[in-house]
Amino acid sequence: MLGLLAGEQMYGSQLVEELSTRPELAISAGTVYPLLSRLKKAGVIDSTWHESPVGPPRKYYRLTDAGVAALAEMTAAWTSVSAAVDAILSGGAR
Amino acid sequence: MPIQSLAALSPEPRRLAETYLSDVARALKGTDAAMRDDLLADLESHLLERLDTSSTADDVSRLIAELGSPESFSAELGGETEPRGSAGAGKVLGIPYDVRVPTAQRVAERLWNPSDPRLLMPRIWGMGWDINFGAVAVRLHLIEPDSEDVPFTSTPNAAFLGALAVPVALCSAMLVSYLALRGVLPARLPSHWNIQGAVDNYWSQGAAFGFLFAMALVPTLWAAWSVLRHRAPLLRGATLGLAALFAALSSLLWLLTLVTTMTHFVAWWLPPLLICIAVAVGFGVFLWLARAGRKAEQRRDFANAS
Repeated sequence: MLGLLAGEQMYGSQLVEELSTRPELAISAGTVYPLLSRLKKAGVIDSTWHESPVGPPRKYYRLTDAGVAALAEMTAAWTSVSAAVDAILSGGAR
Repeated sequence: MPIQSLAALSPEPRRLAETYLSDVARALKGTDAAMRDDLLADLESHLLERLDTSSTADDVSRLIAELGSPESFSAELGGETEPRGSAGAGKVLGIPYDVRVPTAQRVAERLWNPSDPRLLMPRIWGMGWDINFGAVAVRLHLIEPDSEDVPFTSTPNAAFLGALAVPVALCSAMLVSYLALRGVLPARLPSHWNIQGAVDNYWSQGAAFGFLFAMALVPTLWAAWSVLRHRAPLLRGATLGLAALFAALSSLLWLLTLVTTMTHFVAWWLPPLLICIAVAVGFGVFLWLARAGRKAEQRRDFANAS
């Protein structure tokens, strides 16, 4: 979720739609909205209503400074874990 | 193919999955209610995604082992430990029950939870399910799942006071009608209607009115106390929605009593119609408060942007 919001601010149903294009993540609307609420409570994202030129106002979510830092930290951790797992799997294949 | 509900599983796998979720819920007693419900929703969603109608009890056991023990969730979220089976909530034959004293948090989470897509939630008190009006409003496109950061937090006090007028007016109407008609009403009034809408049981006039009036007055007093004492917004919203629902139900049942007694009108559709109207009144109050909160949030953000 933080990774998606790193690129641009997005509204709830846009996030749900974006995640639905990645079925391997198996994240539904029922997971996204409570998660948004938790992330906002944790201070890593923030939300603001914006007028929409094509319909009713939309609530957009964006990363806070704490969110940017958390994303950088998690990306580093993921890269490290992923590299370790790749190394094990590559070794197993040999 | 993923299943939509644990009820789609065979009896034994279903029992294992439901027991696991109940154990997690019990282990998380004392943690933040919103976090707990989110976690339980996530766990259930995970089970539904990974299981299908052909899943066996071993499949469920493996999946549960992957997810972790209820105690591990409790340790993560700082919940208090509780002996198994001692909590006042759980499931019997797949039907949820809850006999704990209702809290505003639980009332709001069960009756107005737009971020949770489930239309039916475990009953606030008793056995069975209650309607999640928030999910209904989302399905009807009357509100967005995330339209308020926390339900009713931004709702202006004027909206709470306006909503309080609904149960107060209904209680007043009941009392006035009783005082005006008590002399002409018979000593015994209907207490039950059969499936055809005909009366099949009676009780005394005082008991009939007293029971229905108390059913409207008690939640109305709770709501009035929370609004006038400026309690937490969630408590105000939850108690007002509940008070409107009960006051509408009681006053419409009182109306049914009067109509049946004074006109002898019988119709099978009348009792269910009145119940539907009462539910609509409760729904309307929840929706009104939530939309007032959304509007306040939008006004704040638009003003900051300009």
